[in-house]
Amino acid sequence: MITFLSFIFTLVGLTTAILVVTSKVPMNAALFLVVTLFTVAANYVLLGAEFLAAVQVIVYAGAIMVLIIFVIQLVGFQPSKDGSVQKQTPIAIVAAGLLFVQIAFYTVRSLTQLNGIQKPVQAAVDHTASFSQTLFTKYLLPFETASILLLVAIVGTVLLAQHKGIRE
Amino acid sequence: MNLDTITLIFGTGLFFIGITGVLIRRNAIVVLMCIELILNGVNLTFITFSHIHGNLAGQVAAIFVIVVAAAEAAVGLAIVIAVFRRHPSINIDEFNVLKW
Repeated sequence: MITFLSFIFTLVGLTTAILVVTSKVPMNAALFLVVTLFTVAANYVLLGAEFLAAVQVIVYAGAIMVLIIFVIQLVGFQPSKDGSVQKQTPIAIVAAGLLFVQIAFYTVRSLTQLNGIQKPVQAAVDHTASFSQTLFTKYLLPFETASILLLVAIVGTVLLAQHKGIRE
Repeated sequence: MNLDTITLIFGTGLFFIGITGVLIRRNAIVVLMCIELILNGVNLTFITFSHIHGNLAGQVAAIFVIVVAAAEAAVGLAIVIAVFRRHPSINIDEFNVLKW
């Protein structure tokens, strides 16, 4: 049942991800991206990462997508005469294909190696509690560093987006 | 086909589709959205391996990726707005002031 649900979410997510890349109108791409983010969040729940699923919905599908849609509305519809056929498209597809072969090779290899791994017994049933236990003890310094990163990002965003731009 | 296999394939597929989109599309906002697709593919792979090994370090890495993605989206969209104000186009092929 879980496998079937995950299969459905994966199918929907990959389809909408392709539509994000191929749709001509940026607003349609943004709305398809919301669907993809929700299917990824659903897969997080199936993998036992409930807290990250909530963060995914709140931060990604909520905050970041609202920001992107706000900027799309602000910039307005750009009549993209470039469409999807430009001079760099063939080279881009070849480069992406090479990358895909590489990534698929390592994915398949890791999948064949995974068959030998004994899955350790999950001691804690409450995933969120054990996750926060790990985050706030072992990874406390990276956590505080992330807050500094967010502060720098806030200051940088305000500086970049203010009307006069960066002072020369 | 078990759950881990399917989500690994999903993560790989998202990464590949995102890379292709970054290379093909010329609209700066769509390129930013494709970067979000790439980061989601990586996050899904992190959480899948965290699930396989029963180790929570993968989930911690994923939450830091989400933090960096939020900062990156905010700064990237601010750059798009700043460029658009000076030069009314968001086609990244025309952003060549810093090139030479």
